[in-house]
Amino acid sequence: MKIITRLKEKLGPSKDYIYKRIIVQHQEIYIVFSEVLCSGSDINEYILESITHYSKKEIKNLSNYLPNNNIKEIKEDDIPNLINNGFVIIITKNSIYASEIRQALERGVTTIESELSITGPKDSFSENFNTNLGLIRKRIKSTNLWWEEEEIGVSSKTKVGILYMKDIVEDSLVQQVKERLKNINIDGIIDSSYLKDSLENTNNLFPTVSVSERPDKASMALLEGKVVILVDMTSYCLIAPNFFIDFFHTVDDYYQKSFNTTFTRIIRMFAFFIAIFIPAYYIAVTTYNQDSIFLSLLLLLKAQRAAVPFPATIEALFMIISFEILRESDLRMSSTTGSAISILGGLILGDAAVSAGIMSPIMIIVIALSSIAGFVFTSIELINAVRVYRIILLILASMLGIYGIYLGAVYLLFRLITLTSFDKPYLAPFSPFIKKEQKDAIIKYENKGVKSRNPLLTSNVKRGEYK
Amino acid sequence: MRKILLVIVFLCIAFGTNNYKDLNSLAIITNIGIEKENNEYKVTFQEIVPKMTEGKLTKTYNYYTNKSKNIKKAFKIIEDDITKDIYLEHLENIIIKTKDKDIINDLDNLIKGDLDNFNIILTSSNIKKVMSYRNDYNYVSKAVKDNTTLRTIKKNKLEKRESKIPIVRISDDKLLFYKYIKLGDNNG
Repeated sequence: MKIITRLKEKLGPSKDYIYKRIIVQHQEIYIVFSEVLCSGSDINEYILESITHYSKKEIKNLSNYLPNNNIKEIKEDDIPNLINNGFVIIITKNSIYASEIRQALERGVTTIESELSITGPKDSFSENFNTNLGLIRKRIKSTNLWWEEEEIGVSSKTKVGILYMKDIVEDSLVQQVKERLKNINIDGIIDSSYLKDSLENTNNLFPTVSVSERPDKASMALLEGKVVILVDMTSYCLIAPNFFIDFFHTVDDYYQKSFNTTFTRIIRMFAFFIAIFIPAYYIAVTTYNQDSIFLSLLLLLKAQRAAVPFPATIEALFMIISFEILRESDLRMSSTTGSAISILGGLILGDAAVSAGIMSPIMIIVIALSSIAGFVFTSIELINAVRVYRIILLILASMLGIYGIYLGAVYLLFRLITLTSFDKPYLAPFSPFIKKEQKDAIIKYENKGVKSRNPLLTSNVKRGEYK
Repeated sequence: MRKILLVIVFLCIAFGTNNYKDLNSLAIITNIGIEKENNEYKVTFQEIVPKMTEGKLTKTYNYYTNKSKNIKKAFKIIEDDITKDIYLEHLENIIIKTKDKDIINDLDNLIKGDLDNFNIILTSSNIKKVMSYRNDYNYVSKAVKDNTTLRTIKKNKLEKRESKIPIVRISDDKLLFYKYIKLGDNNG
């Protein structure tokens, strides 16, 4: 067959492409597939065993007779793409068919690893697009849950799904997401993070598109009027738009009593300020504004710093860098080696540094407190943004004291106020102030008390009511 | 180019207003004693030196003394003697051993800026000994109803009101507050 010659030229010398020639009813049939993507036993069972017993009439109309739910007649040009997507190509004298017989290369549905919750569901997204879509569909059975497919990546041809609730989402938001995705022109999408750059305002450190591995969080976002983006071979979804306040919310907030949720959110707010401002404030009071603390505390700080030979700023930067190295090495290692690094770095090195007089205990407390406070948030992008602002404020404080912190805080506020996520103000519902949204901003009302959706996201603001 | 210019302007502002003082380079002065002897002012600075010993904060004191016919000069000589930066923001008391109450007016010139939140205490006892009774000063302040700081004295002076300045002495190893004088009242 000439078609096979042409196909071999296109696919090259790769050995995983199998060209199987069989003769059925005196007719030549070619079965072409990739042995690493397709299941060999399923090909035997559902294609070869059936096809060898078919009559001439049945072979002419294979799509109606082969026992497979996803079989279609295709054109020659589609063959390479479908082979690389786990399809088996059946080439007969008159037609070409593609039958989906993928091998299970995925992990299946696993438990959540990074966005842990105490009482919520434990299933997380995996690398399989259909599984991920199914996890959302299981939660939202409405026919208003629509999804549109895009194919992005010149070489990777990755399947990207844009999910939204037709009756809630604003059309303009869906169009905006689609346009931004269409403008992406790169070789390959290996992970959903590749799309983030194109979807976000790149000149700001704070994330305007959130990433989640939780199907329940994605479902909640859809019901709020947001758009969820699923990417094939990615165990995280993207949620757009994203507001600053969203980082202070977790799915657990909606599974617990409102009073406890409010308390936890206030703690998270404190943690945000501690993570950014505490090292800078410590530097300011020990190098410029000693008069802003009472004498007994000043004496305590001075006593602890007495043996340290470095200026406080250098000591703080050294500590921050050490902590980041420790975190990075801990992150890349396996859990068993990681715990050894934690013990070695955190306990032994920390204690030795204090005993040797290189570090003051109070500096270790300050940097550890600010770093731990940063880890209250699950978004790695936010943690990184906090880390950068922590260092900026630290440098400003070491040059100008509390005045420097004030300048840094004004700059941070300015950046946040001027930031938008898909044309929605990032600091909503505080700026602009939306009174109804305050019921689920920092203070959390009982779920039945929150009767409306964010008017910035949808014109269909009324939620279903509790009775 | 514009960005570089902005950075330069910022750095100029930043370092132009730089008042960087590391804690280790500070001599924290908590008490200053002033005596007048033979038309000379004898000024004593008490530096508090904190230390951590076995997890506990302990304090030791360094004393720096100098004499001059002019208070300002005596202060200046001590400043030069102490190798660290003199830090007066947490100054608690100025203890004066003199009958010349005009010395308080001289103090106005000595303490630059708005640094005036310290007590003025008069004594007839040994100044270094009086300084060592730090913990008892609160009692002194309460006894005269917190009316002893230079700030209050300045304010009262402006409003033409009387100020009470406590007089303390050491007797039987105890710091005693036994009376106060009213500023302007020589018979206090």
